[in-house]
Amino acid sequence: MRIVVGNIEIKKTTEKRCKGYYDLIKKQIVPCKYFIDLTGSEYCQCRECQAKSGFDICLGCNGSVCKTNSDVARKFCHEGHHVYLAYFSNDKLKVGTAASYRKYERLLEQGALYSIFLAQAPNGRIARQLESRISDLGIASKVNSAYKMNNFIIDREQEEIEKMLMDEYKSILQSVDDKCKKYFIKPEYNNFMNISDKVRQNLLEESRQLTLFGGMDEPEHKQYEKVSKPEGVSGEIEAVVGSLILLKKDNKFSVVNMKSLEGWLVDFKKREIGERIDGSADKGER
Amino acid sequence: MGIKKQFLGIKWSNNNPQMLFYDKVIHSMQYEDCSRKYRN
Repeated sequence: MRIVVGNIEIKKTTEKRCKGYYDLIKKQIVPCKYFIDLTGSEYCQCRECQAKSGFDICLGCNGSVCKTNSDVARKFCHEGHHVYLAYFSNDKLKVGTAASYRKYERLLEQGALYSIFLAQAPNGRIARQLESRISDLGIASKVNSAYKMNNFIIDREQEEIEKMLMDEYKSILQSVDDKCKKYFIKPEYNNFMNISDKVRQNLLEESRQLTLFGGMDEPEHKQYEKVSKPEGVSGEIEAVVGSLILLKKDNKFSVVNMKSLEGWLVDFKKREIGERIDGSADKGER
Repeated sequence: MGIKKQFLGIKWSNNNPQMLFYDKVIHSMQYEDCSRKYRN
């Protein structure tokens, strides 16, 4: 199979505008009606769009008290939700919730390449309560982009990760009360190995040597630049993990946080510059 | 040729990442594929 190799080039301009909001009813992104100028602001969404999204009050909800006045948010919250446990590099586990109708997209948005769904709730409020109980056991409920950028490469073998997630599931099940247990499901393991393989292929050194004890050296990590607030993006996209892209240019790698570009007007160029043979297949597995 | 658009983030659909742009001039949302293109 031939890969069509392409370069992208994105240059940030000096102008940032409101990015609009996600309409929970229509399930689509709506641009800002007034295209509000937010240049110089730390925000990428105006107050009106933030309110229209319905989620401004809901961030940080732990399921104890519903504070929203938004009918849209309440309707969305009344839909089924799943609770997931995700694995991040260096053995960091994170608990989170996802609306059931888009649970896999949620994992991909988070860059959660390995995870299990461990509970299913009839609504978002109960899902948040479960998340909160699990978080009380010492499992992180947030993993910030800095951590994800600094720990971009997952060394551990996928079998070990699956075992870790399953063991943690059993531990959680033993620790939560019966009120929570009734929502637990047989864990559904997910991996996006097509993505993690691309990261490893690019960022792990290929040559390994036998150690004196008959084992293999751990593969070395290649250096990569961490760009948390890009002024521009240039190179070939090798992999995308959540909102982070792994770029290659002149044999150098960088991991760029694209979330920080949201709302900015940019100059965008994309061109195909040739073909090369690829011996590996893109598995595209969930 | 560079075209000025508003970047709205990376969106995931059918396990594929796409960059979403908004063109204010023509009031149009545009998706650009982030993943590798294959040709047989």
